[in-house]
Amino acid sequence: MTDPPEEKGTAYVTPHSVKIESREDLAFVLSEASTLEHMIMCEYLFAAFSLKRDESEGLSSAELEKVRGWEGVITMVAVQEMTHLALVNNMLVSIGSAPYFQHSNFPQPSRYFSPNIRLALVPFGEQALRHFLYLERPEGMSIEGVPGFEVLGDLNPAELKGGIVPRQQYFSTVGNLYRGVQKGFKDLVNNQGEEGVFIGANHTQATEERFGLPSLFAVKDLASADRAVEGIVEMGEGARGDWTNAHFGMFLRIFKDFMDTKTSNPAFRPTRPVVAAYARPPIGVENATIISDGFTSKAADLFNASYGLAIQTLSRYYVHESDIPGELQVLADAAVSIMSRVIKPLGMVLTSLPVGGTLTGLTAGPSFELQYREYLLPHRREALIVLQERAVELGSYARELSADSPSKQTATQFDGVAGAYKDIAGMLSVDSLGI
Amino acid sequence: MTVSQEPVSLPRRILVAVEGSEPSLRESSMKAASYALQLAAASGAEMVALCVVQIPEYIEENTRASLRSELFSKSEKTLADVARLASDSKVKYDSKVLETSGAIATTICSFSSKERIDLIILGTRASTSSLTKMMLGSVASGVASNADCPVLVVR
Repeated sequence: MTDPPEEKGTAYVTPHSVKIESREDLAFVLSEASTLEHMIMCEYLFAAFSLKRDESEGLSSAELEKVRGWEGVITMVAVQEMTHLALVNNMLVSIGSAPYFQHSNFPQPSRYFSPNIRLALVPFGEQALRHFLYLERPEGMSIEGVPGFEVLGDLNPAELKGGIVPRQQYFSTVGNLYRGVQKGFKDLVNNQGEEGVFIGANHTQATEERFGLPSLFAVKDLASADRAVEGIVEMGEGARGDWTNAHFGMFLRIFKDFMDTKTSNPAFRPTRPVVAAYARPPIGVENATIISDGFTSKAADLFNASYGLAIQTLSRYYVHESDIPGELQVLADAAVSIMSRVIKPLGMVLTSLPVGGTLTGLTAGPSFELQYREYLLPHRREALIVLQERAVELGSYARELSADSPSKQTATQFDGVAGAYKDIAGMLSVDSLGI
Repeated sequence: MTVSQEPVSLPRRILVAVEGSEPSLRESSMKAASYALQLAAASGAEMVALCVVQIPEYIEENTRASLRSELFSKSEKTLADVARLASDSKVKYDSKVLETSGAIATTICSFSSKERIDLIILGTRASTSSLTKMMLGSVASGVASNADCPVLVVR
């Protein structure tokens, strides 16, 4: 494996190979981009959750400070990936499509993406950081494959031919995929005109005002679509090759700091002994690690159920069609609360709980498993009732887990989650919105 | 229905797949090893004991090192017990520990093909829950489905 590049540098932009000739092609590629952003976000959150958070876990105060700094940067990058995910879904909605929040289970062996894109939940460490650098690398920069993430081969050329059905396409980097999207928008507008392409509603799109995520705006024309693509590419790999302050540059600094710290202190262990683990055998994954510990298994279920509820709430936001004051804001607030007050603390507590069975000493990382069913709730009143009911159920489940917790500290975390769900259920009440 | 009458020869190389990571699995493994030794002695076959250590692919390197050390140590302990049983017999005996991040059943079957094994013997435990049964029983059923030689499951 070659070493990562030096601290400063530029990369050239390769020609795009993604071909978009119709609305169907564009919706297909945007759905693929949405899945990619979504899964990358999960990877970053997983790495952040895997880090130790207390001196009692064997870190000195100086080491803990360093680890907290890394966690802060990785979490910030994960939040920016959420922004990308929302922007991609804004683009989808802008052309009249439905939002797309599905993904297959981890690890993803590149069955749906280009053969050079493999995705897995890896705890913080050298392998994870090299993989992140590979994912965020600027176009034209050569970083050899990371062990465990080897390129699986080329696409069959027959797959790349056009036709009435959209096909999987080859892209060399994430930036390369977006340059293809950018050109696709431009070509479609040339053929159909702006009004012909941007037929979707823009009032149901995610924005900075609603979600509090900087650089998140509605896509309603070619200029805003162009701005969305430029924003995503710049956050990831930098503005046309200047990656110093982009995700790539941030990960490179963490990588160097981590390797230097390890060299000066070989006993340095910033990561919990985490493995991504499932409560039961997942669909489409061979040799998944299954949790044997009963309590951990329930906690993993609560994490995934909460993650599913966040996705369902977000999906409902995007298909919203009403003029009830405050309804959109309620959905946005509920989704953000589930992410920050439920998923984040649950992710942290899960990585402290044992997998059990033969994997002595290992702890369970969240699997980010989505159930294989449609998350879209199309009807206003029914949607709120369903979402609120589920929030109440999950809050009760968190309270049960608090009562059964192996330690006071763990119980406190589940009490916090139960409290958050009480607030979320209150927000989603049909009565408070007058529906 | 016509059944072909191919001659059946006694096994010359018997593989016993054993597990050392959990007490209940160790018990069933020793039962299978004992059965395999008696069969090998009676048929004049050689016996190879195989222990497959499964380590998840995506774990941090220090975690991998300590998990590997622990699981290899348990496996070697189980194989040492099997070796003691074998030393009391006149059976020609060998043993091996293999590591995989893939399926244990696949690793056993690949080893068996490479080593020209005539018969695979393994144990299975009486599981308490259907999930445990489904997960742990899957090694025996995986080997039975994929091996290119006869498989004998000892209860």
